[in-house]
Amino acid sequence: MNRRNAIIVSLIVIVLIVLVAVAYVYIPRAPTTPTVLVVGTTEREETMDPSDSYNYFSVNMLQNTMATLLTYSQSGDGTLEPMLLTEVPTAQNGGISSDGLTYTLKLRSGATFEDGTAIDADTIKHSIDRAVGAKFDAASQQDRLAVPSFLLDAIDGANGYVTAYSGLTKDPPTHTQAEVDAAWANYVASGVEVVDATTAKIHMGRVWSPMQYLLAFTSMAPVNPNNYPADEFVPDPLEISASGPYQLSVFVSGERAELVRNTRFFGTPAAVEKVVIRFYETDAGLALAMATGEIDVAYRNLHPQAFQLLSVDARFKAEQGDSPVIRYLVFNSRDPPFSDVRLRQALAYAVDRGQIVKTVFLDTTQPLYSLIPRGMFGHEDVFQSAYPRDLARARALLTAAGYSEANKLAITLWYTPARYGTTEADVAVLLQSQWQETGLISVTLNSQEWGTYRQSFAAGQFRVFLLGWFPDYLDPDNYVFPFLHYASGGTTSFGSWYQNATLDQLIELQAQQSDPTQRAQTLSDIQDALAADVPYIPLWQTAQQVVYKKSVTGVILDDSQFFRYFTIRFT
Amino acid sequence: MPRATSSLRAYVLQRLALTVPMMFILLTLVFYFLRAAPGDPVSQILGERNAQFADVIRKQLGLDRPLYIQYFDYLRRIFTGDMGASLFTQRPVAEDIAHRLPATIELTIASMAVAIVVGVLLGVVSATRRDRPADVASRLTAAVLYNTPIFWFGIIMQLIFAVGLGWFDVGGRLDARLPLPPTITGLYTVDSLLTGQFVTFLDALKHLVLPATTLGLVLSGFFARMVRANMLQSLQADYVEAAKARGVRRGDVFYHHALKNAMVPVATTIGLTFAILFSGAILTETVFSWPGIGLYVANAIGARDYPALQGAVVYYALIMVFVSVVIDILAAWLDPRIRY
Amino acid sequence: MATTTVSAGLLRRSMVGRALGIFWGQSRTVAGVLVWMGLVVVVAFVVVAVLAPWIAPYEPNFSVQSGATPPSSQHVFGTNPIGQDMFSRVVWGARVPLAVVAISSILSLAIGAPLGLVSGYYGGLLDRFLVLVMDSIYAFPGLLLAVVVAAVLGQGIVNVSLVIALVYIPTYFRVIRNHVASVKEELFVEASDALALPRMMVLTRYVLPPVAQSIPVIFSVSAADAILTQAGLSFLGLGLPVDIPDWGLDVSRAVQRGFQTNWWSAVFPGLAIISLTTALAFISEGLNDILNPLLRRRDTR
Repeated sequence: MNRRNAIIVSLIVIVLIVLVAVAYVYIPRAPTTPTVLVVGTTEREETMDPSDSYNYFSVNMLQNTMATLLTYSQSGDGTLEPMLLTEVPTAQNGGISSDGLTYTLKLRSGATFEDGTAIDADTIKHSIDRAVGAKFDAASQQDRLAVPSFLLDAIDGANGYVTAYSGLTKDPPTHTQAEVDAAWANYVASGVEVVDATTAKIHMGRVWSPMQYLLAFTSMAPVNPNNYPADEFVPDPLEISASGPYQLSVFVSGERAELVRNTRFFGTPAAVEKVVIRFYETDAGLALAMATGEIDVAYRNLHPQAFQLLSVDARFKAEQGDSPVIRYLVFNSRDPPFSDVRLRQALAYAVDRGQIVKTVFLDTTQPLYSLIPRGMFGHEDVFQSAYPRDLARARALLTAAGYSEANKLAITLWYTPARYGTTEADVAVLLQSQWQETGLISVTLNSQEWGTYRQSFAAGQFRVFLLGWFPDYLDPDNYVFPFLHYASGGTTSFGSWYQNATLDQLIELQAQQSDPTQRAQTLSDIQDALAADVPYIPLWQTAQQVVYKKSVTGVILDDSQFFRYFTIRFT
Repeated sequence: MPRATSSLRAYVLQRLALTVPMMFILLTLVFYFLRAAPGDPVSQILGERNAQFADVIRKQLGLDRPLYIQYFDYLRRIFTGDMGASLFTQRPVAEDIAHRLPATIELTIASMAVAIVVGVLLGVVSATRRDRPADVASRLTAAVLYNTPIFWFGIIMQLIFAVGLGWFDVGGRLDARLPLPPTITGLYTVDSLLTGQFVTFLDALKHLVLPATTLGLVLSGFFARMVRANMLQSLQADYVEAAKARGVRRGDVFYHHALKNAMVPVATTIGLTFAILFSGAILTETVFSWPGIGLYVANAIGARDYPALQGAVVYYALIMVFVSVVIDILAAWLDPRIRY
Repeated sequence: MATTTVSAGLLRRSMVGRALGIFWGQSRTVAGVLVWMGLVVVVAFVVVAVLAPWIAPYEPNFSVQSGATPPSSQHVFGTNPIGQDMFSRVVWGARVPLAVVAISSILSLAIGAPLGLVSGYYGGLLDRFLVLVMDSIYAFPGLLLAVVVAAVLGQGIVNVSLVIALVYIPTYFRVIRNHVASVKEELFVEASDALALPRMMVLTRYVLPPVAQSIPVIFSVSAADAILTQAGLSFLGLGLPVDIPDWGLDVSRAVQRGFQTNWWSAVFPGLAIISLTTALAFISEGLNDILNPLLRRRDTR
């Protein structure tokens, strides 16, 4: 009995070993003619309902499977092009009315979803109304609003509806169900108008120039009414009814997603028949997979070290492009100690952006000296001239504020470890030593996960902390209004509470100025005020990086972060 | 004999009855721990701004109700098999876990096999050559293996066998260029064999090697120690002495008497080692991008995704209780000395 | 009554004496060598941790080089990619696991042992309930439990220690409860019960001393595990703030940064963990070997 068991066990072991050996010999490591493109990522999906998606990877999947009204040019510079529409609505072509309150959408004919359902003006109304209105959420067993619905706030009637709906859930309710129903009826009647089969109009409640960019966003992409009912969220990725270059055929969370060419797509067909997206858990795992040739393309997120290592590898091509994401420090300007402007200035003098960029990012990013990113209209390097690294001046300011070797300024620098990548902790460590170099500051580091972090800084619990900004639209307005405008609650939402009435006026002014020279001047004044008062210290502008095999071509690094799979091909 | 059977039946019933309060205690602990957490799942979903929407969403998710109402609601839902939905993917947690469970089972079984084979070998070598260099060497090996940080070991394995030698892939369950096998059991190795996809089977097996070896080797230290201790004990037992005295061959004494009897307590502790294995699986799955429940837990923790975390923990608890009950019962059935 | 007290006193003295004698006597056996080797390493780590400010040549958090440099005479363990001296970090890093182990073991012992004593000695419903609760926690994967609680408590040495203490309370509880239950059956305890001595007195005088023997064994087993759990928590980002040098965190930071070009940033902290945990494992192995036959002999008598 015993001996027989032993024999069986050893037989199984031997068979397994032989099988692995056979596997090693037999499995072709690289097929001679690759037909499947494999892309690795460490990003994660969230809900895939187009109206509810507000996460990089979910939106990315939708961008490659759904036709949006407008899209970003393949030049990658962030300019808009028509996709489902026949032209980009502008004031010149009459697409935007002279008062800026009506957008006329002229639809191309013949566009369909993967099941053959035609995309017409009714589909557009269905989809936009669906993105604005509350829907049933199976998770909470209740109705709720879509997460990015706030972006559609400027559409006529939308704000009234959202206010009424929010009022319903307040305690005690400030609105009744009847008022909500009336607000909804008002929105449906006034928001999106179907003119004929290929023409729809969006009526705005107020002038809001970033609306154009929103036409390229997936929450306004037409969805198939057969798959997406008006009153219910549909989070399942496999429910996506493709109208774009690819359709999603397989989705195994944490493992892989498979895209196959959508034969009903009206535009240029996808270059590669099938794309497999492989999910990796860690930056290190993704980098190793690239190094071993398991994947053809690695996009988001490679650690700078890994990027550098792969970029010197002869088998690969490594590229990097601009990203509109900026990183900065926030001061709580309302509470001591940083209600004292001298301390904010002292810390600005003591920061060494060069060391951070060189040591942590290996020069893959560039220092940032303003809140408006480099390359964007109105950008000026105000902090470069105002605050070169100068420990003597930092010490002078600290001494003037009453601090000394014996009585050091004691602060806690907060950061969040995952949201901004694995480099964040290293940045915090360097800032700590840079500030402590003054000899008059003692710094403690602490961190919280994003969910807690966000609550804490909004509640004013942090005095100085690291933050990043992912813009909603690529306009300087999106880099000054939320940051510096006090009256709208902007600075409060950043945990800054910085208050400057003159600045509020200047910010309102630039949003209305259509003359570029005038607007540039206003933006310049705003940035000067920023440098004088230092409510934030801009640190660096992030870069987006991609590494791919030399056998791959057609990778586009887009300013808008739109990563296209359908342009990539094998050489 | 009938008496023994009825007492076994009583034992089984008693053991099963105990699982109910055990599950209840675990569920309660998990619920209160997670709800006491400072992290706010709603903030996690939203970006840097949009605070005005947070209250609305929180209300809609029912996070504003008194804790005890949420607790009873949670219990009621679990009894109806509803684990809620992930805050992020919005998919039902029960569904997510059902998809990920086979990956963990596949990894766990393979690791257990590695652990038992290596552990028993080390243990036998140790016990049969007590206090001699071979014993010291295998005890040292076992101690070092068991005390190695598993994530560190995994990375070293990846560096050597995947990056350095290129023998294996660094992670995942299957080459991305191969289509997934049809889902029958969810274990890729089994499904591909059942459907006759030999290449897929070999590839799935190949992907299993590194994570299973990492996890298995670390756990083998545990088995080695146990086998050694138990074998030494049985080697001193009267029947072994008697066998020696009868002039039974040395090897036969070891393998027929000592090892066989030493394996009974080993088998009965397998249930316990599953707990260690599951702990290790969280780290192993993270290192090897192995899409199982361990990884699901790690992701849910990072995101403060309460429903997902709760669901995963409840499943873990169910599996643990189930496994430990089954193994206890098996042990009672196998070993007549155990009676409660 | 007088006789029992005397005999218990004798028993206690002889127990300690025997244990020490056995320790010394065993120093030439494998078990003895294992214990001594383990002790030497652990004590060395304690000394290093205490004297860290004098031993470490650099500030562990300061960027003293512009990037990763291989081991050299200036930096014996090299510097990591952000220019920190790895030797200084490894030296300072010894403080974390030792502090965590010390705090968590004291907590686990302080909670688990009394509960185990009471539960095992009094038995009954209380015992059943406690065993059920402890078994529920014990059956649960330790790291999973730690991860869930750590996510709630947040970072810091004390918090991590609390988490680990919670994980190991059932271990102390179980061993001590079972031991007490078996000691309770022994003649002299039954005898003192028959003499109607106060229960607390029986507990502290006759039950505690023999049971206390198992504490070093549980400690050495759970200490190694505790260090690994702490390192695992750090790897999953649930450990300590980054300005506290910590081996587990250093390994995970090195992995995140990619250590193919700077193996020393991951290897040395990893080796430090293995050295300490293995040393503790040696102690527990040896103690088991030495104490177990003794316990068995006493049991069979």
